[in-house]
Amino acid sequence: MTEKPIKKIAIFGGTHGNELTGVSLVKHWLQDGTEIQRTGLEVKPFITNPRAVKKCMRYIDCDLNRVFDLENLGKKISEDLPYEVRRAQEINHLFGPKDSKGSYDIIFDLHNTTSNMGCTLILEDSKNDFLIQMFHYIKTYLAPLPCYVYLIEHPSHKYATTRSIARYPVGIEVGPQPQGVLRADILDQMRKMIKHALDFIYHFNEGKEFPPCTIEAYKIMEKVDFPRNENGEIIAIIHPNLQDQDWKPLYPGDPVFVTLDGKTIPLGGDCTVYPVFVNEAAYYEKKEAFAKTTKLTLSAKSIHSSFH
Amino acid sequence: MGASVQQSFIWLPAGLLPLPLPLPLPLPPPLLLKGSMTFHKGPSQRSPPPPGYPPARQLKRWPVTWQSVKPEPPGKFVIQVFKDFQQPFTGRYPTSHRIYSMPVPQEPLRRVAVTGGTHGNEMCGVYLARHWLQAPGELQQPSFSAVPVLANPAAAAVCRRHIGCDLNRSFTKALLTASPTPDEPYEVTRARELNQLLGPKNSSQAFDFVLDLHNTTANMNTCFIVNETDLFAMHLCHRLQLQNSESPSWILVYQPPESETFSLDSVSKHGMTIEIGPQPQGVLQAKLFYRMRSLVASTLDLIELFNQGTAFPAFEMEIYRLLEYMEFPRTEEGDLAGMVHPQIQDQDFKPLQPGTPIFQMFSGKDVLYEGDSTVYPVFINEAAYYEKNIAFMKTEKLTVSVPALPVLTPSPAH
Ligand SMILES: [Zn+2]
Repeated sequence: MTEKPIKKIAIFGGTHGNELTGVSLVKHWLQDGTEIQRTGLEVKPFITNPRAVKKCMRYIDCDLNRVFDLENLGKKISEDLPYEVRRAQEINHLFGPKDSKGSYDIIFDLHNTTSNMGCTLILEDSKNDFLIQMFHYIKTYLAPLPCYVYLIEHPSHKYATTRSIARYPVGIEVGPQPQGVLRADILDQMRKMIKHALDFIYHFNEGKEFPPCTIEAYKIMEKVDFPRNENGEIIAIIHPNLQDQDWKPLYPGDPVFVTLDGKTIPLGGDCTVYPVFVNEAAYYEKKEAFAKTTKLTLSAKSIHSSFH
Repeated sequence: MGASVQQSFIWLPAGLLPLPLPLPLPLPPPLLLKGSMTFHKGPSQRSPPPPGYPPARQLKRWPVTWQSVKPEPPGKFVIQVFKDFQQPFTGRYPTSHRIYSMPVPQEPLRRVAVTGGTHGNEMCGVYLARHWLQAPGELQQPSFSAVPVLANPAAAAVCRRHIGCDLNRSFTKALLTASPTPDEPYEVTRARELNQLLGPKNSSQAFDFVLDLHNTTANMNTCFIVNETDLFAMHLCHRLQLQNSESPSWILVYQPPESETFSLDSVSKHGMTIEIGPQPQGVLQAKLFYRMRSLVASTLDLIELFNQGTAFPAFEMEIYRLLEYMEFPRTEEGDLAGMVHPQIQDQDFKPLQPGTPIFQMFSGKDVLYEGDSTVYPVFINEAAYYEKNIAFMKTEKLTVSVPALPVLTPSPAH
């Protein structure tokens, strides 16, 4: 199938101000963008939450990566609005508007996690041939370094991500890295992911045909909270056997939590799941100890640019 | 988001936490006091100390005050240990050597506190303190009951290191004795409260021992931070190091001997900090949590042994003593221009030779370590030190000879 060539790309860093890999790469590219330039493409690096970056906090008032829904984007501007909602409207103005013809073609949004998730590409739509082809390309060129695809298509969980204003939203998540820390190995991996993504787009625009492909993906099932007492206090923590085991199969009966008194709490149910975002710092307040996913295969049709 | 959450778990009875038993050490005949603490020093060079002691938050470089000691081959100087507060014994070393004076406990330690959450996003201490406040039984020993304290409850409630300023730099005389003002940082007020509870600092009413619990994002495994003049704490961390042999543990001297102390564990007569890592801020990892809990139990066991009249004989051990900070490379705008080099990332306490790359610039260029001697970096890439612009801290490795502790006579014998 033919697709329009890509013209405008943005690379977002600092959507969460304490995830330093995206912050540092974007700031560096604002100084010297040679490595992200490709002939025929406009690639714009952009710091999305500068106030949170300055304070090295995830956000100032609320999570910027959850407020790009039409309701928040349509709110009347006033001083009472949370900083991130006002900022979302500015970003929507610059790179959107969401769901319109004028919006950017692709937005890469760069994130870090404290979980041991390695290189992760986040996909919001399982039927998107173009992005499945792109992810297939990135995975191929990153090998033997593993790269996982996390599919967040879910009937009841709507994310309203910062990148969702683009026609093709791409979340890039690399870990483990503590908040407020910049690790060279993690930065190198994220830098390679962006390089291969831009190379793919360049080849696509050049008219290269990408034959049908399949990729393995992990689709979100549900989020699991920490066990808590009546006061909402956490009474059990991630079991040592589960710590750092993101993407690995977790079978019914396997230990999941351990109480402060040493009791093990196993996985219930009767199906194997693949945990992700295990013990992510930012999700304690979101009441999420980890998310369960199921493994599936996504396929994409052959694509080439309509330009040629 | 996150509407459907499954909680259909079965609660299984499982084994209780493994709490280590006190390790009986072979006991040579007890030595009496008037020993000396000998330092074998390397040939490291240090810059001159700045005048005075700036407030901790403005600290750029460590004020290295002990370097007035001339390293003499083989480079030794003496720490004097003496009973009570008598005149120090000067020993056989020339007077150009530094003489420290310090008291050792003459009585059982009965007033002991375990403090967690001094930094509100270092979760091992936060969770342990909260747990013990509800169930303090674990902190009871035959001769004393340790008091759990959540040191910075406001910061812990919002999971941040601090609200206004670093609590663990706020126990200076100037801050503790200043008149309260309505606009002072929360931690300054809280430091005064803790000084009332656990101190007053440098007074006879102060607690006997404070054990302060911290986490670091650096790969420091288990690190005991002690004041090298606190002979009692030196004994404790030596024994803990021997007991904790399955995972590496290190002894770090952070405080220059003659500078003013500023940390929470300085309000009591004796004190020690346990630093465990790597653990991200705001995350609680079970393995580290258990290790911290075991170490606290072992520390209390050792204090109990001392109280019961057990001898703590002389020994030699390796310590790492702080030299100075290494700052991040920055652009003119103040942004990071590079990052800790992969070759030294996670290599805390490993030797760093001159010529080794220490920073990788975003341009791809490497920055090499230009010192003229081997140092041992610690707190490499610690999240909390970015705001202080510290990429890592350089230490020197020393072997110290530590004299025996006085043996207490069991109380009934009095
Ligand atoms: Zn700390």
